[in-house]
Amino acid sequence: MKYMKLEDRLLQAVTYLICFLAACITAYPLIYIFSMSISRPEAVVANSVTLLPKGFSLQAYELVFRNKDIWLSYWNTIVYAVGGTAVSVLLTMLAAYPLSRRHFFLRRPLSLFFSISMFFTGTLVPMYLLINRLGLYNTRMAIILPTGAAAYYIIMARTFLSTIPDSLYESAKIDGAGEFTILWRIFVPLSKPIMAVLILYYAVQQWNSYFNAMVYLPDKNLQPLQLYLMKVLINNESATSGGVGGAVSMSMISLQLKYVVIVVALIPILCVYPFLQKYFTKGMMIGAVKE
Amino acid sequence: MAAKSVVAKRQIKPPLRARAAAGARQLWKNIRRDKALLLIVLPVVIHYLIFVYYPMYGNIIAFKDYSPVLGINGSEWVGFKYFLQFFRSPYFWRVLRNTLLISCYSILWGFPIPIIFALMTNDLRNGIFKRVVQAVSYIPYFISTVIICGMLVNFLSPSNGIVNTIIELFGGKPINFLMEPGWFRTVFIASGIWQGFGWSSIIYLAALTGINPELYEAATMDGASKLQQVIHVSVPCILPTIIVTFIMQIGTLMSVGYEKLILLYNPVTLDVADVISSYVYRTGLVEGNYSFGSAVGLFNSVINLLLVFLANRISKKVSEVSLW
Amino acid sequence: MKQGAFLKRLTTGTIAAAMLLGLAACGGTPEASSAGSAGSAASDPSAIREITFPLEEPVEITIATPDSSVKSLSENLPVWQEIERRTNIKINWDVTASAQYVEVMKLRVTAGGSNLPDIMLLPNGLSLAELGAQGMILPLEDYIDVNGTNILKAYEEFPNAKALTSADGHIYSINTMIESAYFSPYAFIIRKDWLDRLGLEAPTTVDEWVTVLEAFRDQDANGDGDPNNEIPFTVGGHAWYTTYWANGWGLHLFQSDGWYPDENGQMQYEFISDQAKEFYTWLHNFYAEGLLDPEFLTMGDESKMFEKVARNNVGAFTAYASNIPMLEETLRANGVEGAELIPLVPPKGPYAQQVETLSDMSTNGYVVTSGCKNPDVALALLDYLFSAEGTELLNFGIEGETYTKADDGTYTFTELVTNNPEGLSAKEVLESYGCQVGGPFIKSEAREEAMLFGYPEDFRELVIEVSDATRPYATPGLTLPPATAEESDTISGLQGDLATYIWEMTGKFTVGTADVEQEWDSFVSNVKDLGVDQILAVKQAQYDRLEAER
Repeated sequence: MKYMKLEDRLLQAVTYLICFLAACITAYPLIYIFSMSISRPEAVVANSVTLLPKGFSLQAYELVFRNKDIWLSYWNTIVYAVGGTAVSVLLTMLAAYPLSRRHFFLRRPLSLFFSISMFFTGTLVPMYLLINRLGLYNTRMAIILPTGAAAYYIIMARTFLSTIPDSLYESAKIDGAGEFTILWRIFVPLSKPIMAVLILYYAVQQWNSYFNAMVYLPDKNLQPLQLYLMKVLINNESATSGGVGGAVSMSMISLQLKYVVIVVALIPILCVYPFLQKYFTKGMMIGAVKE
Repeated sequence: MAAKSVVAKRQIKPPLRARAAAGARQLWKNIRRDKALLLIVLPVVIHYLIFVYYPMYGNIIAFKDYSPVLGINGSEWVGFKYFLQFFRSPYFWRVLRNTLLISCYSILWGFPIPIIFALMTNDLRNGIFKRVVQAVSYIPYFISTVIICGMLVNFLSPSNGIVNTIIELFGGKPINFLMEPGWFRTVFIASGIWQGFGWSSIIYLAALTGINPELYEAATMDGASKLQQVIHVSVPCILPTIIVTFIMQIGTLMSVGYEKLILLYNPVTLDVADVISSYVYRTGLVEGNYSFGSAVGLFNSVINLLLVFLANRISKKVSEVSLW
Repeated sequence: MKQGAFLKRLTTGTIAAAMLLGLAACGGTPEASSAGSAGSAASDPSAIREITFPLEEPVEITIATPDSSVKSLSENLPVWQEIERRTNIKINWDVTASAQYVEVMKLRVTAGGSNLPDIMLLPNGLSLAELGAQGMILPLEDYIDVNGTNILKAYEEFPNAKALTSADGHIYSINTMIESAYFSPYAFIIRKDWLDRLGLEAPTTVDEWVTVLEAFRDQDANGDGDPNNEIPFTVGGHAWYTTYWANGWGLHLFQSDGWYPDENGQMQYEFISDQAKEFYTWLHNFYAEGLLDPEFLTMGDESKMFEKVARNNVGAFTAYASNIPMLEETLRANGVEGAELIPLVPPKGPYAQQVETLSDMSTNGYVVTSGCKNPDVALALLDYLFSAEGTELLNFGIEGETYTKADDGTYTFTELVTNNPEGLSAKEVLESYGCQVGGPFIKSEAREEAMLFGYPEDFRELVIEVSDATRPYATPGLTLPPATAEESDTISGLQGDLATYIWEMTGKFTVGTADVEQEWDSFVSNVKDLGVDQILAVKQAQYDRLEAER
């Protein structure tokens, strides 16, 4: 379509302008943090960085990477992110599909059953005892298993699945396909956008979490990156706060560390998005049936 | 619908026993019919029972005088003592009011923006610009609150912050934003939107992909402008997602997080800034009282749940979209 | 305690609050209470063996403690190897990263008391009295009588220690004692080069401070040609830090939160005293005159204050003197020639010349659990850590490796510590040897002095000089013994509301949103309404217990 109405062109111009501005204000924090992390420490202490780095120094990075534990914890985090996300996405889809079927007789009670958990959360001590009794304590499963499917995402996925035209479901039924087949062959391929969202949400959640690992994983070899980074940060916080008697000297670099830690933790998870992005940017209803 | 009401009417008449038997038969029939669906959902239900519902029993400490040494079961029952303590606190009304105001304004401004943003980026032509805009927009979500607040303090500083530099450039007088009670909510909510709109828009982007392209083609044929297409095709198609998200937002009305607040508020803005969670946070730190925190948490949960029930009911009447 | 309190509130607080908000609350199980009340107390004091080190037969003792972040205690650090060799005790380390210790250990105690180590650092939030009453930890006084000569000696030196570690008439925990609490305290720090540029003397009274700060405000103190870009005085970290000035009014707001006994031993709430009213009036003027940074309430943490100092905008502030070298270095690196910061002796105010200092004892100590098979050995081990040998090991490390000792008893760190080939800081090197981790100890002032090696000679002398000059004015902040269950019940919910109100009004009085003169009476009556008298009654009882023990 070559010809565009004036109205449309105007709208498009405004859209582009707003999107450009939005990109600028949202890109800023990352640029700022990155600049802070590679600037000279004295520029960081004085906070004279506004956009681009002042000077260049990788000292703080060296400090973080000096410890070889970081690579192991990186690996652990990847294991938890991949494993946990797989379990979570699977469970979410398994719950969302039946709930999206209008004739399913437990549709309402089960939706309620899941939803309630958004308002009342479990508590730590019973959870700790449970993990111990199930023999998950100090194993990778203690991180991967309990995360499960969040009610919020079950409902999101259910909402998405129920927008898939019924006619597809009906015709598959007529062809004699069972529910499993319909879910796997028809709904999963059509649900790539929502699954991409779920993967992103769950992966980010796993990536950033440390609390479960802190409580259930005393073994240093199993601990994820966030826990390691917390150690770096807190260790330095105790140094910056002077300590009793105040004779603990603080180095300039310790103020820079928090920026390095953020960059180190952030970059990998930011890289996930582009891979999932293509599923949000094009329609999936190929040969869709009219409603 | 019609069939269901007929069934219901018929069931009123027979005696109780027969009704129960009919009900059981119906249930059995349902189970047999939906056994595949039941089988699919079963693992999730089991997972929920074990990992979500079982650990909830710890919440009973809201009704106990909890001592970590005595444990959940060993601690003494005190009924509604801690609920009453909260209701009778001189700050109860203030924190309740602020919580609701901040929530409502957040929804008012923060809810539509991700939708608009998703609609806008969806309309960009596929290409590098579109991908970059979408990818970049969700970055602030990942930056820790401490850093975000540090940046806000820099931006808004009356001595050398960029915002005040701009104000002065246009001949205005610098404003000490963080010390002005009148500005607090604006700063808090606007920065929240900045941090979260890209992330929240992802769910709408996914919903937009589900729209049948033929609908747009048909609209174009009818001579609809771009804007009309958005209003008459895109929005209705993602309406279920919008409504569901909205209902769930209603369910968080009582839970404004304290992490960012405690970094931004100060004694001068406390009148408008102190919310339930920040109040509990401070009280808890001073007194280390778990039962109190639990009681307030439970109170919030119940209110949130009631609000969701209400919102859901209205939604079901008006739009037939419902959480359950 | 106030120092860094805000930071700590943020870090440990986040976790604590996550729990309080019910995200991850807490609880317990039947196991917790069945933890073996049988083992409570030494039923027969005469049965306690007298322990002499080294033991004839090795004994195993498990210690739960926050781990060192430099090198794990489980790798048998040299200092602890040496302690094991000299005592013939085999220590099994049950360590958790320090950031997570409180959370994890509290959970373990609550969830299953049966599986506890012999000795553990008591995590925050567990009450000694309750643990003792449940029979989960052992009363130590009988063991101390037999095997605790060094601990008894420490009690003489630190008169609060015994009272603060006791509950229900029993001593339950052994805490780290801080000899160096009055060394290089949190202090006023001023730009010496600004003073010189304007031809001013370092202020010694509050009034002189005001004069000096007015000069900073009005003149071009930083010498950049602009007389208006100087911030005379700032505080960082928390608005509360302004109460540091209240020392001059003889008030104890900074460390003791205003709870302090008068000369008759009657507990007072000093925030509603007449002196406090005068102080607030002064503080408001201080702010209104433009001497106090208008952003003092909005700078989230201390690093924001350091930013301003490093940008050459700040004339004076409060901080630990140990930050000075870093700040000077930054200033010079940012092109400020001759930047010089000096700590000052607390100024004489209208009512007093004093400075409230930290408590001389760590808040939490090590307890012996009832599951311990050899409580006498466990206590003897703790006692050994307080001996001269133990103190030396835990403060300075291994003689010949980390330090040398001159004939006059002065300690000098070796090059390994002062100029570490791997680039570790002195504190890190010592920690990797096992110093000041793993158990309670006496934090020695000699070590703090020796740690000053890194500073230039003149700065070292200055810190020692200022420390010595400050010592006569140092007033220890009041720490009260733990409240009983009944006491905490009567004041439950009151303290939090009161703290909020005081914090809010301090800010408002300072900035002027509330007028001190007009609103003072309603302020006092509101404080009364918030239950200050009930809290005072409890504090009085706690204070009387402290006095009785002393």
